[in-house]
Amino acid sequence: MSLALFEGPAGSGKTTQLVAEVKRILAASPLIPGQRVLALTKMHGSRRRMDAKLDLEIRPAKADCQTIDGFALHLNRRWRDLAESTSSTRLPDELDFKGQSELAGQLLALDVVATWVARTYPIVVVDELQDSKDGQIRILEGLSRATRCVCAADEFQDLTGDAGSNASAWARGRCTPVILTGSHRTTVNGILDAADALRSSPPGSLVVAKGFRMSAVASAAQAGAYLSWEITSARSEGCTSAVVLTPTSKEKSAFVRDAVEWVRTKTATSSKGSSTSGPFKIEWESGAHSEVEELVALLKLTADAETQVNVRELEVAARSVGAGDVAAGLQRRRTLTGSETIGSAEGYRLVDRALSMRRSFGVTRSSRLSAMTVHQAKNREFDAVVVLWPRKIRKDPEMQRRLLYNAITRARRRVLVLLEDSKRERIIAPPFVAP
Amino acid sequence: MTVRLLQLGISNFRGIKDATIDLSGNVALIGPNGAGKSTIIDALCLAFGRQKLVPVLTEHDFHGSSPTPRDRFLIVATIGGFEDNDAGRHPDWFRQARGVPKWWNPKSKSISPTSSSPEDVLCVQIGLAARFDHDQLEVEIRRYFHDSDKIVDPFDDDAIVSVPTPLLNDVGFYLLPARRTWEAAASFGSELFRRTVAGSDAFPASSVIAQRDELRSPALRPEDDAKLKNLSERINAQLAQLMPGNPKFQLRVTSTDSDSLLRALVPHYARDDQPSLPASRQGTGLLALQAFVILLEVGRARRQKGRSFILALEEPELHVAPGLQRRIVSCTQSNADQVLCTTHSPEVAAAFRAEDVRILRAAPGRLEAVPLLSTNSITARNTERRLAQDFRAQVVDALMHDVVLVPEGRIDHEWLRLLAAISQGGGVAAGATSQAADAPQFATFVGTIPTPDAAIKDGCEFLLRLHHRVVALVDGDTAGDGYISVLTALPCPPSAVLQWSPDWTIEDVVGWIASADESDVLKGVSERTGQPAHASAAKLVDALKRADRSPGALKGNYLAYQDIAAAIAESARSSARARQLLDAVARAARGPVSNDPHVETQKQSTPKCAVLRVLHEPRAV
Repeated sequence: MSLALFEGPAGSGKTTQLVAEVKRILAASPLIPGQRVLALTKMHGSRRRMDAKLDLEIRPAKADCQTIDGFALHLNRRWRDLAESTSSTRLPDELDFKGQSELAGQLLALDVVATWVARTYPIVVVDELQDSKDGQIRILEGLSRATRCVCAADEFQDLTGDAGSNASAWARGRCTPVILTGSHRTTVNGILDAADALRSSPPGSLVVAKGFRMSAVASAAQAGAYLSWEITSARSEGCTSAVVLTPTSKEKSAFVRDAVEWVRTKTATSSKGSSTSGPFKIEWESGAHSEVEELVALLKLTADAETQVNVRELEVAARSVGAGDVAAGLQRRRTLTGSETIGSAEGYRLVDRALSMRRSFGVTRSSRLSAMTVHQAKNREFDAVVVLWPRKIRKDPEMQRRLLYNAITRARRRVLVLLEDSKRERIIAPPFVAP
Repeated sequence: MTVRLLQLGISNFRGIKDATIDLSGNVALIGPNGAGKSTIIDALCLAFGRQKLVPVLTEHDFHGSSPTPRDRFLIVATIGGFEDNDAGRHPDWFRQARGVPKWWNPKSKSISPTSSSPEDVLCVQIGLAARFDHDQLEVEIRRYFHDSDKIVDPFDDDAIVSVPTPLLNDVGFYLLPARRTWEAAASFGSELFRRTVAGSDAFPASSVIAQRDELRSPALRPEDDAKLKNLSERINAQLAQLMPGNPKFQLRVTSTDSDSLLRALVPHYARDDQPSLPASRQGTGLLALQAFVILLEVGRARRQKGRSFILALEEPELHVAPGLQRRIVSCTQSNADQVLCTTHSPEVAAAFRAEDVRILRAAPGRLEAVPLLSTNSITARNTERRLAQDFRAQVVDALMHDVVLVPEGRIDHEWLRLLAAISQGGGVAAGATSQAADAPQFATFVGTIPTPDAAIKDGCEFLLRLHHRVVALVDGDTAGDGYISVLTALPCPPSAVLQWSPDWTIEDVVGWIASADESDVLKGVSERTGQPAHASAAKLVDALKRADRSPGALKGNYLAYQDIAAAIAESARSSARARQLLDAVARAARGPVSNDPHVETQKQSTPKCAVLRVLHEPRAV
């Protein structure tokens, strides 16, 4: 049917425009009973946030928010007979996400499948289009033929580093994008200038200004102290939300891990000893993969498919770490199969599934003080942002710029970048300084 | 759109491990008791949300009665009849949150994900899965869109989509069950009746209100009755002392509200000039019809709104006279979009076209519905056509037995029928032996068909498709030997071929039976036919064998047969002989036999087809 694309830098209001466009379409052609708006996202976290946003805005119309992988999997399952009869190769395994996307893309190229989806979802919304790759682009291609697709993208925010398949380019080939400019997120010049510098070609240098500061720190402890003071300062300024961002997961960098841990446990004192700051309870936002690994390790499930584990023991262990949903999943499996044991591999899959359900539908305890990766912060905003820039980071300069850009554009009011840089050499190199 | 059933798949349900039943078109399913008729009806009810018509599900509903936690039973109903076979015109059925389009081919009766020929019919499959929960000791069911036979467990699958109840109502499946709650059928206690009344905008609201008001202020107040009055007054006085408000005791019919009034209504019928009687006191015929008539009304209302109406009749012959049986069926055929009927009545079977009749063949764990006609009526072979159409009642009757016996011709069939009636003790014979008290084997277990035009091979082939045990019966002469060679040589031969004693035909059998009491029987024959008595049994046999126009020729004279049979029945000794011989035939037919003095295995026997001679005189074993 149609494809609409909104492009623009971070904070230019893409998501808002996206939702406004959906409302315009709904006003012109309202949904008939049983129809809904379909929103496709890459990750579970964004799925939830999109759900909340749409729900509020398009009432009384309803929206179904799904991850694009989940959508593909469901589609392939329902059309498996057709897939088998038309495909010469074996169908992809459930966990082969790439293969599943490819298959879904092939199925949606068929009129019968695309119109079947369109009858329930005449409108499809895709935010962060730049994150879609390969098979996922083909899925959107098929959908855009039968439904009204509305997308938003910013190529510069593609953090995967895979220049091969470019969803934004595909969309631009299909329609004329609406270019959005300016920032609705922040009016702080320091932040705007820094963002521009990172984005422009050739990139510029970052300048310390009101609202935008950078520091080279010698140790995690020092980073922790600076971080602690920043939080105090932000709060006194009236900031109600703050976040600690890192381009590298806490598992991979001791600097990041220890800095946050420092703030959680220690009190920073001023040089005169007259005032103190912290400790502050910073909560790490659970990463998809790490959560699964943690639980799997705790439950002593190994990847070795041969081992059989007792289900009841697992249930008790799961409940003891607060993973009631995993325990419920295990119990259901026991009821449905009558088997007291479960293979390790299957147990792993069950944990994965339960936790992704939780990410999809669970309610987040929104703590005012979170720490997360730049990926997890996508499309979100906070009053104050502190970026921990460890040594352990991707080497590609373009990627570094994008990571830093994405991090600092999350902020509404203030940004502080702390570099793991005891020799003060990184702070005078790209991406902080023009190459 | 008019929904139609196309196919029913049953797996692991009750006596069936796996079965696929073709239900396209109007269908009469015929089978003996225990064949699986009610299993099919109950499966349809479960699939279409009519659980109330099915007994509560328990372990016994799983094949084997001992379901493990992993076991599932599955019912898959395939429905079609979508306008223009265009999924786009039916978004209620075919979209993301509903069903996936499939295609059914009317020739091969198979279902595939794509349409390959213009005859393919768009269809969707509704599945009902059940499992037995070992913690709750309950059966849990799930009704879903059955996208693929490869679904492993409908209870543990993320891509399972439930079928919403309003959509089931679109299917319009209704059942006239064998067990009927007759009295309730036409009263407001019956949900069906209430919905029918509401649906036809026939609700008698103003009458009910008027009646209710009358009941509140009746002309006759029981509390004021002379006998009750004193008690009422004493009660009222006592209450006045204990409670404020002066409550006054009254007795009223019903709770004086519309609901209890409606529920208190009992259907009555007034016939001719007789006083009206409540339904429960009417004959079973009227009661049986009551439910039927209401269902027809439901159907009428639906079809008027352009909705489909599929009516299943479960053994409509129950409690209903033969003429009425056919009328019920034809009435349904004119008023419903599709009729499904289970029966063991030849009358009911006769009310359907030959193409629509399916014979239920049950093997352990399996069930098949085999069409009576293997191809359409124009191209079917002559024998098949005659049996399926002209002799359908006899064929259906025969199929209801354990063994189907195919004699050489119609005359054999007629004689066997008459002799079987005799051996059942149809005629009262003085001095009947205690043996007569045992159930006669032949009548109980063996059915015969009137093989047309002596086409015994064609007859066998026709029946082998429809029944698991078919046995031929040939004369003891060389023609009979010829039939034996032909039949044993068939790739799928009958289970056995029986032969009379050497050179014997059925007429010789009759003669031998008559000769047990020769003079009395021959006298009896003479009295009935009004002809001079035959000189001997041998002469009678001669006459029976003569088909020419010569005087005294009796071959083919069915009336004479009846007279002879009647005469035989009067004789205890002849009757006993008839019975003894027919029992031997029955034993041989039911097989296997060993050391039976009246049955001798012949040398033409093959592993697949036993050739047995039935002897009138016992041999040494």
